[in-house]
Amino acid sequence: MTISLKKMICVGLIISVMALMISLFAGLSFPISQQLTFSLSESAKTIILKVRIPRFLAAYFVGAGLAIAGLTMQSALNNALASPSVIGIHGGAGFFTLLAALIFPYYLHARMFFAFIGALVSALAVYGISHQAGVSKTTLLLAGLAVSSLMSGFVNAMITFFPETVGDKVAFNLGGFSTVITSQLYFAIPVIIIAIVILLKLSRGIDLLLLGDEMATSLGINVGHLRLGLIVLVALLSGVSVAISGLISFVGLIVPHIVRRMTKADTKVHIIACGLFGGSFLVYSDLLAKYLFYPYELPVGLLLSMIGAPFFIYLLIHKKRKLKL
Amino acid sequence: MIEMHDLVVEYGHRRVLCINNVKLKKGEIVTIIGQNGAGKSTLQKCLTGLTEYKGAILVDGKSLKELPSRLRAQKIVYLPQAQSSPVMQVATLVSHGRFPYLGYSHTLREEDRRIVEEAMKATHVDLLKDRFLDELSLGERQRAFLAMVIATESDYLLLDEPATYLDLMSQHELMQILLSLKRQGKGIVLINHDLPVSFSMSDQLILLDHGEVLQSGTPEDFLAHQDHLREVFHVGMKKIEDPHLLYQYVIIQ
Repeated sequence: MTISLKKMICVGLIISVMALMISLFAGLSFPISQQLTFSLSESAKTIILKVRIPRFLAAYFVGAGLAIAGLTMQSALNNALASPSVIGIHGGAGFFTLLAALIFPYYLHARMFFAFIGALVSALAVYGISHQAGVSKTTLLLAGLAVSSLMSGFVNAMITFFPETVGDKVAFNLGGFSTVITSQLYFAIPVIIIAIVILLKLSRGIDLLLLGDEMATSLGINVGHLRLGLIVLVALLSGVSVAISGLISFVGLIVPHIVRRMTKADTKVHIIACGLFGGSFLVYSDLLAKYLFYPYELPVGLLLSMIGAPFFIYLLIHKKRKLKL
Repeated sequence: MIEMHDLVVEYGHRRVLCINNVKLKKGEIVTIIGQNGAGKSTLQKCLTGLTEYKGAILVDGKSLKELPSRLRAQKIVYLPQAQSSPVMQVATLVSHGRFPYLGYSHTLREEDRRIVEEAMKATHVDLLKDRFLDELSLGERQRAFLAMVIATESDYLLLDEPATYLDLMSQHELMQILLSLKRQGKGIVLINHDLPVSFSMSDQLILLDHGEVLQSGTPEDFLAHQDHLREVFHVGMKKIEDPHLLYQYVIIQ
């Protein structure tokens, strides 16, 4: 099934706007007429401005960022199973975020910076290890697993020696948007937008990587530099996302797969589609997590793990041929 | 002209290529022949910047190592033996041949579109331009990749066994396309295991064995002195002047 670019952007924008409307207005206890005429009570305005808009923006941009990061990883490493969580980037970002919480407990912006460093360190470690071991799909996944486990080990060591970080770790592992702080978004959203714009500029290079390293080099691309640049951008997107919302997995795996099945097109189109659908997907997931067991909120990371794992298994079983494992 | 002087390629302690004073000219088809592992692909990869080497390679007088990669791609383009078939339309694939001139950001200009159209016509994939690569037959895909290589407008085309997977008539069509490119002044460097085709098509042949040039020259030179040919392939060649033959050179025991 293929959908044309225009239709896809229309659909993407419509579902994004719907996501926005539901996020802002669902569940607020005032009549519809007030919502439509925007003559809201002060309390409603406060809730929308101070809570719901930041939460929507955080979920949308993190979703877009993670989906695009997943797509880029899958193209750059020519591996349909690559995503920031599967190849260890999240583990690194997680550990370093906890380090920031420990060393700079009162300076919240340190977490974002540390998360980026952590994501970058793990990404480079995975890339470096698989390079030494012979870059193939399996070595990449195994290196990702190894780095993930290592980071997990460091986290456990940290909570053993510094028990006060347990609370942070649990909240972080479950991943959610209920504690989003607006000041984080002032930094995070521009960074995510800039990273996406740079990736759009490099999209032709990503297309050429899909032709194979030899062909890409033959046409004048420095494959090593491009791949490294893409990994840095993915680390940036992942790090920033993880710092805002904790560990949210499977968005980077599920959304690119759905987008690629919806439309056979070049990377630039896929990036735009992943942005629109990834953002909407995470917003809807967050809404579901918020209202499924109302008034109790599920962390959205938990919900996605429950959806994501079966999807991953489905991919492995039914699509083995197409995944080129 | 491409000149190679004291060219040595080593993988660890193993020397895979050691050649000197080899010249490849524009407007000629040069076919590199030899057994598997003789160093044929290695030679092409040196020219593409895919392999580290010692020695000097000059392209039109300038050192290859000093050429930035996009400028090198404008002069030399390489089509490897194995190609991936990503989900990509033929027209998009061929337009990627313009990357050496456009880089990451620039969009295709009118002239680029014209070049892409002409490249697709040259290999008869213009009617397939909206089809996706994974839907095409091997022969059609090969022609699409060849169109991309033609779209680079590079002076030298290095093709590693381009006729693999092609049926007889497709092979013949491919050779006609290469002949036409040669007449346009391109330098074509082929690797081909098919001796009759190589002998019939080439202006120069280079016989490589264990990384060294055993013999180089015209097909007639090889006909006159067949010792090295027999040493490597355990067969000889003969020319039969018969207008009904597709290829004038045949293998003999």
